[in-house]
Amino acid sequence: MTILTPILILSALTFILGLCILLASKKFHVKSDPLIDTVILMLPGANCGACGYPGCAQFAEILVKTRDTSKICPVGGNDLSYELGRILGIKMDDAKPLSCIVLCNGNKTTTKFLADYKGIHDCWAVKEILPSVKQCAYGCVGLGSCVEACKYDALKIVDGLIKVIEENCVGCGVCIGKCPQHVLKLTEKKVKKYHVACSSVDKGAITRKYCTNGCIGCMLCVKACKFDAVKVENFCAIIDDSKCVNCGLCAKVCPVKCIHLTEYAMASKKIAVKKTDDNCGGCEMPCSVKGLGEDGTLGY
Amino acid sequence: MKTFKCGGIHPDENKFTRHLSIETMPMPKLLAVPLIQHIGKPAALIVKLGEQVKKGQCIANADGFISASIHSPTSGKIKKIENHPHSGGKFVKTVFIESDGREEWAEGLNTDEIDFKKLSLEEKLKRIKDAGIVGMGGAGFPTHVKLSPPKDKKIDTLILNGAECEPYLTADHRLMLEKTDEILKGLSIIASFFPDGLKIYIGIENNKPDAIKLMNEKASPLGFEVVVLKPLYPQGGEKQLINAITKRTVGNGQLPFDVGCMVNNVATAYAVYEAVCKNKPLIERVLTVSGMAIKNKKNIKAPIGTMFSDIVDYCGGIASRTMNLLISGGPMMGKAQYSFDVPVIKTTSGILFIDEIKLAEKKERPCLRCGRCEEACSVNLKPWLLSNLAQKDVERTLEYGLNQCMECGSCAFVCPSKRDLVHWIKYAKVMNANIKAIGATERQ
Repeated sequence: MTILTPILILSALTFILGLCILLASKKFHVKSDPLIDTVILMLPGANCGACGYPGCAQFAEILVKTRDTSKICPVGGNDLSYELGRILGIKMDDAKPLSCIVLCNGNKTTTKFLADYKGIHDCWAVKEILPSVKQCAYGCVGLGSCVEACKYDALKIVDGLIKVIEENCVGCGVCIGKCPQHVLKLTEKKVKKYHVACSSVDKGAITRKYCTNGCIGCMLCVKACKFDAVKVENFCAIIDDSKCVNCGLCAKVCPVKCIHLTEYAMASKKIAVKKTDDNCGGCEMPCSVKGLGEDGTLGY
Repeated sequence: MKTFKCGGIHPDENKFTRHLSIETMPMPKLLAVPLIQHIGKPAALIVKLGEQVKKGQCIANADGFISASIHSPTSGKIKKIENHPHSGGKFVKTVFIESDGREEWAEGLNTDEIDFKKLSLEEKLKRIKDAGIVGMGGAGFPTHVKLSPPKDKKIDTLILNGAECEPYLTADHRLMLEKTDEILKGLSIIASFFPDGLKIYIGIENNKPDAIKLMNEKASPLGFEVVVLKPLYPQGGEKQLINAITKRTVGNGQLPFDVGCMVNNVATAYAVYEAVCKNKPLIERVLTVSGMAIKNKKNIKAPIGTMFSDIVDYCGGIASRTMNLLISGGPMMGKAQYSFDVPVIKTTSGILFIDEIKLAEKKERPCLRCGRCEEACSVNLKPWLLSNLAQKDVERTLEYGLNQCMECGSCAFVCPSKRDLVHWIKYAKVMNANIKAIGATERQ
């Protein structure tokens, strides 16, 4: 008989508490869209911030609420966009995958070093006490503050210069804010463009003294370009992406070889060339004959 | 002997030049005068390329409230204006003046000595402002701003800083011995800006007995009190000196005038005397050239803008082949330089040529949590914690008093693991400033 009393008490207690939980869950129920959870699961989950929101959850919430077709996860690209559009019943815009390029090509062998730097291993710490570790005050410091920031293993330091591994780069742009020298820049990933891999605004003679790979502002590229796409500002060449057809004439004449194609493009030996009426001769064959493949690429 | 309440270290003094009198350096051919020689906004250039300037002529005006004007240290021609290495570590717009060897003073400057008591307060302040005088102890805060504190702050204590706690440096020491009367006149000029009943102290470390004796003889009749301080670094820090002499504590975020004090360096007092009594702008300063790697160690009076390479030539050249460190300032708070083209500026109290084998072998090791940095810190911080947080969570360093740190270097000096504590703290300050700037732009 003595065992019966606690059993009864405990059963009654369980029943009452269970009732409380039931009431609480009814009263404080938060309505959430199950779609949001589905979308969160589909997103990469790196919380990189490339979409402009603090993390994937916030992006999912905004996307589901607004059904904005221009909201695109740059990491997932077109494939993810298509899937998301299918679930949400909208047609998403085309994603333009981005990737990082480096506006400096002064590595250990080409750039002279300023001093025997023994301080802490961080680009910002260097900038506090020196113009840079290298003599050029505008180029990559080469201590890798951006490498630590990259969540996709897309950056590494080779010979004291930052290199972008294109396959890994998703174009989130986190590294750009981490660079005190502003030598990282985002460009469209699929369309390979020529770019000037130098940021020095020193006069040509000074740049030459500091770095054998630096742009000296000699204007040869400006003269070589048939499409008026290259100009020299502050002793450093700039290529206007909207006018450039990727013929590569400027890169051929550059005496310091600081006009580069991105790594990925060089590896595949293929670049996208715009078809023009003007036979520039960059590919060494006229556009009107042949050479351009169906996808607008040209094997070199 | 008085001292401040907590922390402090006592490195080897190495004051090799304490017995050498000040030599005036001959005017170099080319001078590089940077437009930033003080805290605050860079001065605004008012001369053009190729223009002839006279000695003492203003070449850049104070631009803004906290700024100081800059004068030509010699007569000659403006040769070029371009970015040049600066002892602060960055490239700074610099005016290059080619000396014509005539040393002609601009009109109305470098006059015979006049009695400062005849001048009104406004006139005195104007002369100090026009002379471009800044705190010459190292920080470079414009003196005319310091001498006009907010109306509601009452200053009752004036301190002349002759502590010179940094090892190697003897410039202030020699100045006190050789220009005693002038310094005391300068101090009287500064004192005249404040109401009567002002207590005036002269703080000198015990390792300068000759200066203490001389100051005692000459200052006591004027009613100034010489305070003998314990030789301890950073005794010459503003907050530490106030604490040592008056026992008042300058709290976090406070300035000396919040506790009714004002501290001026002896070199500043001398510059004030020259500006007010002789109408002579700040175009030269006394500095110590020392260290094992220089042939002749000297105390020299060099024109502002003299490049370090000229000073090396004047002092007999580099004696050691293994010289591995060139420092502008003292060994504790000075900055390592990467170039001999760096010019002397208003706040350069010394140039050191260090030849230390240990430096080449220096390697950072993990923190032992021995707590010696905490013991050495004179503002009661935890340098080990700050440097660790700087690497992991930079915003939290603010909770642990990051901004109280004056980067005196005591913690890094005592660290048995040779950790770059001060550099991490500087890094944390830069990163926090960046975060703040990003936040401000986002809010806009």
